Amino acid sequence: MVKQIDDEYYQLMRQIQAVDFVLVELTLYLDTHPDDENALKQFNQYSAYSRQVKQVFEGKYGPLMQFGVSNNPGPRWDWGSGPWPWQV
Amino acid sequence: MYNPNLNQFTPIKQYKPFHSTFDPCPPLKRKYYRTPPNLYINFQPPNLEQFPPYEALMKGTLWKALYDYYENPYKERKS
Amino acid sequence: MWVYEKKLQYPVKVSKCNPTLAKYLIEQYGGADGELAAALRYLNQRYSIPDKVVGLLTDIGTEEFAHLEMIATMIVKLTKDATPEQLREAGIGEHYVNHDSAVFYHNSAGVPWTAAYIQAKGDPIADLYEDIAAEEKARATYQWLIDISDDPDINDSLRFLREREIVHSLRFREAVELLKEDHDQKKIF
Repeated sequence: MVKQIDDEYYQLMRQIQAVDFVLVELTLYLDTHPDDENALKQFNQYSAYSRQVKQVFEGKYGPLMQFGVSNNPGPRWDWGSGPWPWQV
Repeated sequence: MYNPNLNQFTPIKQYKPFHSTFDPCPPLKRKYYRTPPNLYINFQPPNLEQFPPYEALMKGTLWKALYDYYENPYKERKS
Repeated sequence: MWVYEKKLQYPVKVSKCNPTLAKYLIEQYGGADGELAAALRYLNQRYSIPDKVVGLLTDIGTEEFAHLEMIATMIVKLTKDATPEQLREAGIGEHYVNHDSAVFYHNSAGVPWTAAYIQAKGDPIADLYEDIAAEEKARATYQWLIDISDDPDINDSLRFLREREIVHSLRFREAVELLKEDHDQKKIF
């Protein structure tokens, strides 16, 4: 089954990509600057924000991550339904 | 510690390759190569200025000092 | 272990059907300085390097897989729905007769990926210097791809990937600095 992909899908996805990109950058930075407290604080803020946005997205379009990392799979197993990232 | 003064370098350098009269292709007047900002930073200092999240994604880095826009330097050349 | 996330790291758009461009882009999929080589190189080096840089190798290696998926997405979108005739005219008839529309780990000249592209020397400095060189070579490849491509949307994604090489290169150089430090000395900025 392929879910309906609307404008909101792209909007929310873009938001997630932006927030998660900040996390990627801060992660690599913290890997070589583990004592930078400001960066760590910012990382924690964005990490919480990322979880929030993903909760909204996943409620509408299904889980983003597997093996139970995305909690609450909903009433039916949705992982296998498209579209996949390279298709949208 | 090295303090990057990040406005004091150009990210693009050029040189003039020798052109022989026996080289059949029309001469490339200038050959370009890139020297991106990472080459001028030894160890990133803390609290560098950041892009806002969406702009950071679009640019490919969170840090302004590391951003280097690339464009084909030979675009103008017709032949 | 790894956990997959059902999203691209960066939105990939393609302006038009262009199988020739796909042929060039596959250099960064299965070529010597491509994303597969990068990911496997870094993740494999982790097992023989001081603990304090293992986190960085893990994270950059993992990010490279996200880049691999972006390249695959570009190739898939550039060739999707192209007919065998179009593929032949684009110069990828050789790919078609072996793979149909499947993506495969080879470079733009069709040479299959080999572990000979990468190294794990067991010497932390030698390995990190190889990683720095790999990032600069990948940056150069992205430049030549941008030069040769006439698709503004593809170039947008390629610019993102090129910028990532710049950031990774700096992080690897910082890792070298961390390994050069004397044990009791704390990093002073």
